[in-house]
Amino acid sequence: MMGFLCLSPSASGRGKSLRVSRPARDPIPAASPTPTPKGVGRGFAWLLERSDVRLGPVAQFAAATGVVLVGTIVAVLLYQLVDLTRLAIFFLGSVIVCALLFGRRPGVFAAFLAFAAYNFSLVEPRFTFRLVGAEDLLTLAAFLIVALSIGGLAGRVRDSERQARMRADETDALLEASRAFGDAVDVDAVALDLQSRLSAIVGGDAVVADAPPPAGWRSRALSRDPSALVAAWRPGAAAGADAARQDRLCALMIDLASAAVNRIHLVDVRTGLEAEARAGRLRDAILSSISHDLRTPLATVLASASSLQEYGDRFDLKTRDDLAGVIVHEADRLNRYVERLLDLSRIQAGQVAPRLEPTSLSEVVDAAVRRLPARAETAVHADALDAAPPVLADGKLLEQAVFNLLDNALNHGGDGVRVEVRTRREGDAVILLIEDDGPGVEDDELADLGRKFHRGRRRPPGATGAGIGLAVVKGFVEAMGGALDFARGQDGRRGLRAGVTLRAAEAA
Amino acid sequence: MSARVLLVEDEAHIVRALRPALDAEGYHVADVSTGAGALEALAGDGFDVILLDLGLPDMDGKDVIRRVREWSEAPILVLSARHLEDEKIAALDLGADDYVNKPFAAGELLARLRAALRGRDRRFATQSRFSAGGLTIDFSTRRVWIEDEPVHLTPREYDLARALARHAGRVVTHRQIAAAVWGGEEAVDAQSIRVLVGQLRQKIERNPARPRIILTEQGLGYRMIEPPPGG
Repeated sequence: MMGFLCLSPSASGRGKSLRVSRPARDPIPAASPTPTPKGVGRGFAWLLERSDVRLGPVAQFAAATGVVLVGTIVAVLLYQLVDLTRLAIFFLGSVIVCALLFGRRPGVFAAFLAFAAYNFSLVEPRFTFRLVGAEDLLTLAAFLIVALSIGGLAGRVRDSERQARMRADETDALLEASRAFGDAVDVDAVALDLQSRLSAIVGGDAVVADAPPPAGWRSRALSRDPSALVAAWRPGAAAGADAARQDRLCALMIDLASAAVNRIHLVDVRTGLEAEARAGRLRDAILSSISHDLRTPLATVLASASSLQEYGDRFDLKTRDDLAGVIVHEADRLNRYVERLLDLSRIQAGQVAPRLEPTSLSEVVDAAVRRLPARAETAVHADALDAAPPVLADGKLLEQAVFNLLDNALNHGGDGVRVEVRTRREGDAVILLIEDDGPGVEDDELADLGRKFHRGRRRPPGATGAGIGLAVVKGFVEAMGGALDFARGQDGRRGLRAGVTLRAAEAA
Repeated sequence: MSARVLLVEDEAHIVRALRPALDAEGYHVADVSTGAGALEALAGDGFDVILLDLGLPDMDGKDVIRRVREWSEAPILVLSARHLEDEKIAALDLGADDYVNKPFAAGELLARLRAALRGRDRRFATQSRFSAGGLTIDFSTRRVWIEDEPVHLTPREYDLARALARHAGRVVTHRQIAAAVWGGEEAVDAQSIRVLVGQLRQKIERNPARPRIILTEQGLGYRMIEPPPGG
């Protein structure tokens, strides 16, 4: 009879899960290792270690009687060979054994028993309780006093030893439980753990559930909340002091579990609050990004278009062309921004499903450069890519990622920026490096790049909407099983270097 | 004489979009993209009006206003996003003359620009009489008429009417009204100002529920209509 017995909810009546634990094979407290004394003391220690035998009071007294009987029989058998006075030691010895094994009260009982047995079996006239000589009387009185003293003292030693060991075991069990509960991260695990621990303590059934305890069981709620878990256990065979000790230990164990459950609830609440705060910060960032990146092109388009409408007849051809060009350019910028927002929402919805196949980096970068404004052709230097090994990637996603990185470098690098595109082989990985010689970012900002709606602090006047582009890059690269990281430029002061780590199509 | 306009805006495309219209209206336009550039340009040349974008890369637009107002009375027209109400109030309290919400049509901006310039001219003209929308105020005698009928105003109502008329066509913030009417010594809540404006409207507006002379700028303050040009 061990392990769990799962009762079906219908059998248990109420409660969503009623689990009943049966005691495991090793009921605690287990014997704790104690230092072993040498010589004669070793015998006592050996007895003390076995003193934990769990016997009821009646059985203890019966066993004590048995021990004294054995001592008597041995003494009577030896009577034929040895002098009478030396045989008393067998009776006193059996008293010590009883006291050490069963404690003080059985020890005292054994002392009286040994006194009677000694008088009856060895003192003349033998096989009677009658006493004749004053010398015999004195000997027997001394015997009784010595036996009682030995029984009482040895018993007390055994009792306090046993209590100390039980206390130590209780402390160990509580400490161990406290550690286990402290590591637990969900309430169900705590409940299950508590249940098996209670079951081990009482050596019987225990249950932890959000339901009223079975009738006749002892119980304790894990908190004052009426809907909270209730721990219950069936009182075992133990009675008196032992039962009280078990109840106390159970209560302590339940309080530990209750503290753990409260802690888990608090952690849940805090995690929720933190998530809310993060969501709030993200909302602010989205608002400010949209405010800037949508409004600015819109403002330009509206101002240009309304200028043309109201004052167009006073403008010369070149001015009209210029304003139309501004409108086209800004509408294109708006379109790109909206596309990025859509990319980002696809990433967040988990709708990016990359098709990985061997992909040429030089082709991808070339396609991205052709989509950029004309000045990119001269600013971007990607000749080193011709010899680059093919990577496992989704061509379209990678092209968009490279496009955003190049766009970012051109936008934030300022006038006359030079962008270098190279690769580096590291084992089975190929790292695509895109490095500009612009102002770069502060060291503490490197880690923020690629976070949604983060906007650079060193952005030059007129630099347009970061905050989404790099987040899209990160999302796409990670969807392809790659990684994105940022570092300072080669000379360690200026510039920004983006590294896209991808898997090589062929192993090195 | 054509007015000189300083355009302080870091978005090159907006500058490109605005310049032709400003040129066509005959303004002399100089543009800078930073706050520091604006202060430098102002120190070098005199400008008749400043168009100031509040979101500058190098310094807060409000600091630019504060610095300019230390020594210059040139009208400042703030370009700002609609949702940045607090920014606008702070800018107006610091001495900006008016604002235009981004995005704006070129015509709207130029209309505000003209109003700001007229307001500047009126301020220097020290006229003793204000007249717009049927309301006439004689500053020297503290008398008020509506459609040539004398109207009796309490001292506070008169102070309010005068403060708004002095800045006709431009926003007067709650704080500026409090300073003009209550002297800025006691804390005045927006409710007291609303009540006082309500009283004044009862006396001078044809339909106080649909004011035509004192217009509400939600969340910012009030604006009194401009006198007709040449009036």
